[in-house]
Amino acid sequence: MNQINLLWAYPDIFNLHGDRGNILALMRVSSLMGITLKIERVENFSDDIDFENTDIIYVPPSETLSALRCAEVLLKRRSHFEEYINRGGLIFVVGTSMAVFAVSTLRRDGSVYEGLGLADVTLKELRSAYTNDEVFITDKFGDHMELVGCQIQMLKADVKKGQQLGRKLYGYGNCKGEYEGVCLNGFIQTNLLGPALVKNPWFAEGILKTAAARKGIVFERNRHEDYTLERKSNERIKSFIRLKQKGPDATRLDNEE
Amino acid sequence: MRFFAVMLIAKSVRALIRLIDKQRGTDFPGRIALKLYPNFNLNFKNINHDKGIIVTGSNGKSTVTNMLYHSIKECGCTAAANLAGSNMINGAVSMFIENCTIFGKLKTDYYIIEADERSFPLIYKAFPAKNILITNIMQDQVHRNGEPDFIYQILKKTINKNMRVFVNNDEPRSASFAEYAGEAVYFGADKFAEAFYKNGFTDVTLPCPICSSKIEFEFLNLSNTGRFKCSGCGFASESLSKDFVIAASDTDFENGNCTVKGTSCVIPYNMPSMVYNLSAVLAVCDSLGLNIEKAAEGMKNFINVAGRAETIKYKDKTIKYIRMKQENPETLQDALNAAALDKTPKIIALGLCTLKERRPEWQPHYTNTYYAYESDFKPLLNSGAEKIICFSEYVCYDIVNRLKYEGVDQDKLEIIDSDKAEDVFAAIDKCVCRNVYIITLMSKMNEFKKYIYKNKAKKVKNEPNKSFMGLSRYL
Repeated sequence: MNQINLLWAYPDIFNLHGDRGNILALMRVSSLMGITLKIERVENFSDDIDFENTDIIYVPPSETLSALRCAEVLLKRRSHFEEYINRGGLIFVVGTSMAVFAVSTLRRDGSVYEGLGLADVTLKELRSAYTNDEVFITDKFGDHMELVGCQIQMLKADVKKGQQLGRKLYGYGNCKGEYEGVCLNGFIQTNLLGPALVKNPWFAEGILKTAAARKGIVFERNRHEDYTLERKSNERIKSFIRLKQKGPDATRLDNEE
Repeated sequence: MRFFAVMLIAKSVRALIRLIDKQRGTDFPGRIALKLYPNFNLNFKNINHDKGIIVTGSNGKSTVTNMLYHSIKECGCTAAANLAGSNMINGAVSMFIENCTIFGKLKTDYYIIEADERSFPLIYKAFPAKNILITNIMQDQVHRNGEPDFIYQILKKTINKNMRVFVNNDEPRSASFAEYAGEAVYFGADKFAEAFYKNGFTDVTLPCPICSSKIEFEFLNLSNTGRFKCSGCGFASESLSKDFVIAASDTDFENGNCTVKGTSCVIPYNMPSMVYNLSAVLAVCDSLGLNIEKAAEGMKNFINVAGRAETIKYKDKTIKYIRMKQENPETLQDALNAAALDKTPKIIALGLCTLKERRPEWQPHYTNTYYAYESDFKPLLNSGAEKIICFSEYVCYDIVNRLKYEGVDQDKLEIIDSDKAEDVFAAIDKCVCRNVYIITLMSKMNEFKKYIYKNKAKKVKNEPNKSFMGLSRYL
């Protein structure tokens, strides 16, 4: 049976930036791919997680404080997450919730918080939010893929070389450098919002394909969908970016920590 | 002497600006004064901070400030207020310059300052009012704030035991500030007949501001505003029977009225969010010893600051505008809900915009439309929307995509990849239905108004008791 089991982590607490839209996109895209997607919600940090019957853990963006409180609770179950990934599970994280899984987060007031350390990433809180459109490319899902969306960045991420999700074409990315996101064995993180999977359904396909492959599922696409609307949307946004690049705010990436 | 000289300059600057445009001069005199004399604000006289009110929060600040000002006047007192929305320190100082004598003596009984959330600490430091009203703390201006907790922490650091706070009993972040103040009065509302629930599989609420557990709502009167309880620490809305809770009850949108503290009140503009604004205003009046019956009576002739909700006759159509704020899901939801109250056939022109259209000076501009995924379009779509015109030069396809996820029939959608009034109104002109709602930014609507007034449009008199749904009934 082509079934993927997705666990939607703390949807009410990790509730920022309309990223419940990513769940809607995964539902739609899985249907197009002929995959049965079973979604379960886990509500509070102390609630049990059924790692055994989960193929994807989706962690939407949260306020920094909530992510740090979450990490504090989940640290006691760090080994469960490690075992889950080693067994073939996938964790997909968006935005600031990276603080749960990073090695550490340095806050503006100088305090340092420990994360699960599932990714070799350290985070530093920015003085204020950095916002902009973002475009990046990735080849982590087989095909060369361009992704378009926006960023509302509260944390600067130092990601080890070779562990990035993609190469940034426009925007802030992880830390003003040339890379975006994190992609390790079984762990994918992006700063892209929009919601990212709504605006880039091919990204949702990539996530589902990766999870399916890790689970050993072979599936055939039900029907062809060319995502015309999404492609038109992204072209419009890229034209807006081109307009900006001609103007004074072309590459204003000066909102330093 | 220095104060007197600077006051003279600031008042002269204000007078000059007002000679050119009566709507201006709400910020610049304060800026000049503080530039010339940084401690300028310390020299005002006759200010009784016990009769000072600072209004802050994400949504509703300007409206509540205007309503409060109106109510105080209706009660026979005088007030100074920054009604024009210049809500940073320069605006507050300008307000005092306007309302003080040349020697710096405040001429009014009360003062009301609308304070931008980020400016609240600075404004409070300059004018330590006893009374602080926090309307709500929502996702707002994410390009500046990123997340609501950013603003929450700014306010939390300033709220202290010398204050009396007026907090929203139905909005968790606002309500939680009661803990940090010396005295708290809660405003709110009992369950509306039109209340809704967040119990769909993909519905989300918010984290508890105290412990970050899930907040559960028994019902919602507005987006993220309703009777709540934290599933972790038990933090919850106060019981309406408590004497420090002043809540609207028996809210009746059919007739446009509700009851607050036994007083029957007209709901200005008959919109759900106005019930909360009304209870907030009456809670302040009650605490200040003003006659709330007079204040409530005064709401019958309250006219809000221009642009929040307007009705304009245009050719054979009635255009009803409801404001939404950039990147602010709650104001979009409130606009959708207000339009949904009208069950008659209607056209919706929905224009989400880029940041550039809202604030050209805030850079870099971007195309964020996430807030549409935090809003529920179903009530509007089920209320007789015949057609939805999705307009925007850069994000029109994102609007269509959002509606597609809501299951809207593609035949009902029209895509206009332009923000220009002539393009949007060409689409509106083609519609047979004469009942048209425009939901977009105020700055965009101001552009549209220039176009429609050129086309012999007629503004319907801004009558507070003629609600949008009431209006559609008698047209």
